[in-house]
Amino acid sequence: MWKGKKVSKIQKKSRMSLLKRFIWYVVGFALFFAPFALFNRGLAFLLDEKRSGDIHATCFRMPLVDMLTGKGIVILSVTGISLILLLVSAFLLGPFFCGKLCAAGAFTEYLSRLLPDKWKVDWSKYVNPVPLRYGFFAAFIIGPIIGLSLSCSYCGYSFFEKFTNGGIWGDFGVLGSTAIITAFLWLVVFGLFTKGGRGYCNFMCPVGAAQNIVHAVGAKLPFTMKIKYDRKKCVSCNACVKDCPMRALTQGEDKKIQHSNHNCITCQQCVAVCPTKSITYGFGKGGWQQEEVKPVQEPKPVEKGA
Amino acid sequence: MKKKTVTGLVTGASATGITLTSSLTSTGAACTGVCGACSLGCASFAGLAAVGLFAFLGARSKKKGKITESPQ
Repeated sequence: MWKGKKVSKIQKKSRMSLLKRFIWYVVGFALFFAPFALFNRGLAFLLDEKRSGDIHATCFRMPLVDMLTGKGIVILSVTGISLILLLVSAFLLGPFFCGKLCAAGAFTEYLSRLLPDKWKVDWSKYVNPVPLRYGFFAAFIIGPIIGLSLSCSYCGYSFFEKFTNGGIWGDFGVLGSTAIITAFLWLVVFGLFTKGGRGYCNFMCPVGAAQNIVHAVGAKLPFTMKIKYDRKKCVSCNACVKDCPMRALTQGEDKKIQHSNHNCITCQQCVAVCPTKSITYGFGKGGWQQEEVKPVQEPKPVEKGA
Repeated sequence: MKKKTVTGLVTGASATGITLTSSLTSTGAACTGVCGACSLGCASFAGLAAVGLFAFLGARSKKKGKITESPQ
């Protein structure tokens, strides 16, 4: 696909960063997702806990149900430790799990990169993903409180594990109606045909939403790691905006870059492609403009011959 | 800014409502999990949505085929 095309320095940097992130995601897949889930299995072995090795340890629906039904939450359990690590890492480092280890999100992102950009839609231009994802997250929390429970079929993790278990063991499990819709949304509409390929992460993922809430608070403090911006160094080349898989970066009318901590997963793809190092990842102040500047207008189409 | 906040709140509340309502229907006592009628309905919905997506992409690429002028 790339053969014969001249590759710019920015494209080279982008591909190198994608390769590095890919290695992280393979590690994340082996550590957290079925059929391997080495972290979960190892922790279960150490704590003498009987549970299957899968991603469900990071799911807070089940501990929430346990809490509401009076069973309580055991902190020294696979779920308890996983949840604490997830939220503490999001507070101190940004959504580290999403940006470096979540193979489910990476799967659709890398798959969508195989398709040309002209086939993809940037949904975040039409709908703001932040309230939708937080709304879904709220339902995730409210559901068990009012006696409902959101089905695992809504979950991208669950479907990814169906996929990997199916691919490795030939066992896809039950494919109900909700699972079909989720698969269609996760893999096709919000995966393959979405710019960045992370539409499910952006619009629905409750684990990502929880991490982003924590990160948005943590990013205000100087001792936490965050994506930082130096306006003076920025040459407004827009490379970071084009390469951000979460569409968390936009270019304002003043040509400078704006960033949202509510959907950034700190994957550092923007850091890798920035030619002037105006975007970095580290401690200190974020440097992003507080007041919002109107985004750049799309060029208006004009009929041929007009 | 105020309008944006209100739009965000309404969108978020709608997402919560839709999710909870669909959760209510999917966990209904009438479901025995054997007839598969819902899967058929959802597959039809997914098919229709796929057609809509391709129509949208087609219309957009047709629009992009026209000459564009710079905003300046």
